[in-house]
Amino acid sequence: MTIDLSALRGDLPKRRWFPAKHRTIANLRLLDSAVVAEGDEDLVLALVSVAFDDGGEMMLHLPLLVSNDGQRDVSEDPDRLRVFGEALAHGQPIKGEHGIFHMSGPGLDPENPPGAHSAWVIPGEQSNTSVVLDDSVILKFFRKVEPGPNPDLELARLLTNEGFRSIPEQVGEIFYEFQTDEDSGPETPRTPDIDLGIAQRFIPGGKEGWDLTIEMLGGLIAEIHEADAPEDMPQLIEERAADLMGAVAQLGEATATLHVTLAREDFEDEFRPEVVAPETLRRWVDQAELRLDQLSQCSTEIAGMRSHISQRLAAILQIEDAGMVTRIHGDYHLGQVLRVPRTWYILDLEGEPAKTLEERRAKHSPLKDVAGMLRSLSYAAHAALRESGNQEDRGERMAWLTTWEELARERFTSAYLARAHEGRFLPSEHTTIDQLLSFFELDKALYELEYELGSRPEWAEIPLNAIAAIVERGNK
Amino acid sequence: MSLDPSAPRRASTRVVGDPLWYKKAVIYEAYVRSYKDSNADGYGDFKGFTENLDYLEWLGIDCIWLLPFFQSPLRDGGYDISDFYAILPEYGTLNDFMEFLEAAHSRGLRVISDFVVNHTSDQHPWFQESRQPGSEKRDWYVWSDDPERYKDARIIFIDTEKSNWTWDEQAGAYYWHRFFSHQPDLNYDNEEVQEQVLAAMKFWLDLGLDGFRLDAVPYLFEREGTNCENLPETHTFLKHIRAEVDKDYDDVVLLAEANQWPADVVEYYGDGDECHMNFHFPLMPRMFMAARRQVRFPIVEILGQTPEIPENCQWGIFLRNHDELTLEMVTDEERDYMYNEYAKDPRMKLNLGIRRRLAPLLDNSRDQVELFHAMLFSLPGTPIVYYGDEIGMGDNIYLGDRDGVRTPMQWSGDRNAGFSQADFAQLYLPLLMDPVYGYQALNVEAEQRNPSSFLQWFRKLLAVRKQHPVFGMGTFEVLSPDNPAIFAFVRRYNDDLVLCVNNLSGRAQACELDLSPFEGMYPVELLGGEQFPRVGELPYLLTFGPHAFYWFQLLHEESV
Repeated sequence: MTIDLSALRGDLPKRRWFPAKHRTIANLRLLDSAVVAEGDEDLVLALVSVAFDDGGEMMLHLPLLVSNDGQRDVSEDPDRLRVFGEALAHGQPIKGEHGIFHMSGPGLDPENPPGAHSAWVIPGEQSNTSVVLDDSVILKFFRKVEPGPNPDLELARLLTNEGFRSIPEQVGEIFYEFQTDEDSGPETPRTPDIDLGIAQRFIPGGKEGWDLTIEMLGGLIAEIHEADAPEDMPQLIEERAADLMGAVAQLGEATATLHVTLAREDFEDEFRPEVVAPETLRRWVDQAELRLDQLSQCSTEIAGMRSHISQRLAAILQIEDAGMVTRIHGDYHLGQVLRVPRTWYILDLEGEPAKTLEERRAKHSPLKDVAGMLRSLSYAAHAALRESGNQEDRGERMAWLTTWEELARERFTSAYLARAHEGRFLPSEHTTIDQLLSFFELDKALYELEYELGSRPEWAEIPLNAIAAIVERGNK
Repeated sequence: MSLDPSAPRRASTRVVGDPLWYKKAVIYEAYVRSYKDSNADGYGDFKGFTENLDYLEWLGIDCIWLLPFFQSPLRDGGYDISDFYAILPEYGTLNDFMEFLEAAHSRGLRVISDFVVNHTSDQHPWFQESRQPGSEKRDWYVWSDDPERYKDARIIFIDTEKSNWTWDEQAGAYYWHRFFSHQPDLNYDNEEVQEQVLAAMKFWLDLGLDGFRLDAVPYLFEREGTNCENLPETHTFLKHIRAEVDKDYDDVVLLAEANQWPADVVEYYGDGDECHMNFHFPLMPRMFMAARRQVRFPIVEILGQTPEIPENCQWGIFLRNHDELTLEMVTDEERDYMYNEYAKDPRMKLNLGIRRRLAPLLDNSRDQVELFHAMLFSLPGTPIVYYGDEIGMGDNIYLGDRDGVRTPMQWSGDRNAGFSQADFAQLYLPLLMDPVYGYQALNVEAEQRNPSSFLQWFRKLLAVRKQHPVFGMGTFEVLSPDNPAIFAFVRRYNDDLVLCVNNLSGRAQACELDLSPFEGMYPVELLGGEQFPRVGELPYLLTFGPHAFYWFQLLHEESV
């Protein structure tokens, strides 16, 4: 049974996860494939190279069901995916034409592999496809792949091995190894393996941090009483949103523990923390300036504040000790954390999807993650306000939410710092930490503004207000 | 010095007894070069080794495995033999060897040696003769006018060798070599070669050697259209060796080095009529993996894949060795495996780079080193320990490739660690001097004096193992407790019943074990002799400190 490439070419752009819907496919090439399980339809893992008419190329990983009548994506028949539980637990390598598809499941019990009972596919995923086996293991198939370690997999594996408890334990993986061609001689460099998938423990009944926060802030708003005195607001929030405040503090702690774990100094080069060099600070500022430049051409508000913003950005160039850069989460916000009673799990360590693999694997200041979460808390406050309905009393609700945000920032940051000082990656001066946090928040807000102006102009006020506030804070 | 193989020789001394001794033994792997220098030339030698045999007797090991000590240009650590009948002059004379052997035997220690059957050095007179046009020995090696023959045989040392054929000007032909080009393969299709190699083996067995570790056995024959590995002819020849050895000698062991998956390696046992022992290669990396992941599954999985072997056969298992297990020297399949298991985790790649000793690999963590030995000494197979690991020796990665784990044995805090009276600069490799692993802090003498040293603990564990043949002879049943960090199994041999429970995690653990088949019995912990509560109907609760383990003998009430 062979894969019908012309049918595939027509089919790919219809897939939700297809990363280039706006581009035209010029050519498809099958790089390699291997049969995982035979049947009326063979279960096949395929690696396909897609060439676009704009000259670009990408590699896709396609788990397919292939028969003489054609092929379909295996997610259409999740039951067929159950076999992966056993394949991973027994670590079976499957030979393709030019290489080997490796299955590895060091965290899976070979005497009781998952997939014996059930398999269902997570609905609505944007860039990958995940199947849940026996409600105990989630196997994510990466779709757009490339040679070199996938950051999600390599960080989850590392953190699991280090005993970090706040990610779902990584229990297995699928990767492709090119076979060395002996005729090509000993000097030919080995092509790095391609990571194709990751298996992790499935956390049932979790709630996304974003949904949880919005829901609880809704509760807080509903409890506002006309007898509440404004000066009691902080205390009332602490009382009425005690669960949420506790969860935020725990999130700060979990975040710090993540960073402390990633900052071990005996890691190998690609993970070992490095001291922030002056050139690095310069590069961060330059990148932010570039975005600022573009923004000031389409936003009068930004144009008006531009010199102040530049000044704020450039402030970090004076820093002497900016701490360390390490591997970090890279795309950290409330949508990337999962809450089960009393515990947070941190998800999706793949970095910003739009960036290149090299950028996603680059080391960065852990404070960038912290700033990402602070911005996310701010967004949650504003989103809760929007969801709370009519414009009446908006000012009062806004006051409550702003106060909540301040309290939440404080709780998150102090819980973070208390734990993060166990590592040695933070700058020694507190003022430097504040300076860097402001920088990364500003940088993030500029990024948000760019996004909002492009897709949701009515939300642009959120990052704009934030930018103004940070600039103002700096002027004091 | 070379010896006429037909000359009369001394009657051999032997350790008499049990034909299945190798199933209960603990084997100690050592270099003559690294052990003890008696003549102050900076190289260890047989005389020096003999002086320190008391130590090995005290330690309680059963058998010494010597790395190659034959005449050799030493371009591949002695695995390039240029005279099968002579000893490397730096190591002493044949007399020194005989004295060593007798001294070992008189202490109840057996001695086996590496023996390279696949190839010789290009300096071997056989090869030199074979190169001559019209030589009678031409057919002793594999010559061809066509370097395209046996295309399907892979190149093992892909970093240094471009082909399995090398042109020889003098011979006017290409010669076949599966390893380095200075190691021409012998032609086993030639009966004289078979006879000569067997004669050389018998020479050493006549002197009293107790067996061989047969290097690189899968590659003896070549056949067009095959990958030239594990061919039926190879098995036929190995069975022939075994038959000859069984006919003339008692209690000799053949340990084969076949870098293959267990399912393929079992071929080398034949029906119990080929090799006595084979290495279990994938077990060791799985043990590291399991400890790193803090779950038992990688070990359970590989043991589940391991086929049953004939009664008179045994696996050789190890934690670390002298390092023939470099990635180039294993098969493709195994290399995949090694990359998969070692190199996928960057931290493993750093630390498990295969040139490390055990202690540095495990961050010098005493509890982990103990746990690893507890598993090595209780899993099915004969443990093979590498010299120096019993005192927790370190390595010197700056010495490059393999020398880092071959530094001199650290006997004491005296000059040159008591290894040699030579000038420091004269030593074949520098001693370890760092503050943690250096010989002044870490040596046999200091650990012998300290009752709580690792060496003393190691010796005790060995003694316990010796009292229970079940560890070498018994069946193996794995238990499946809910706690994945707990690796528990039962060994059974006649009435001897031992339960081994290991905590692979660096955290304290509790675990409920289903011991219902043993209801009414009493676990007695073997290292301390303490009796634990009776096994009842309910699951048996055990708690563990980080990386803790228990060996329990299960006894009926009347024997307690």
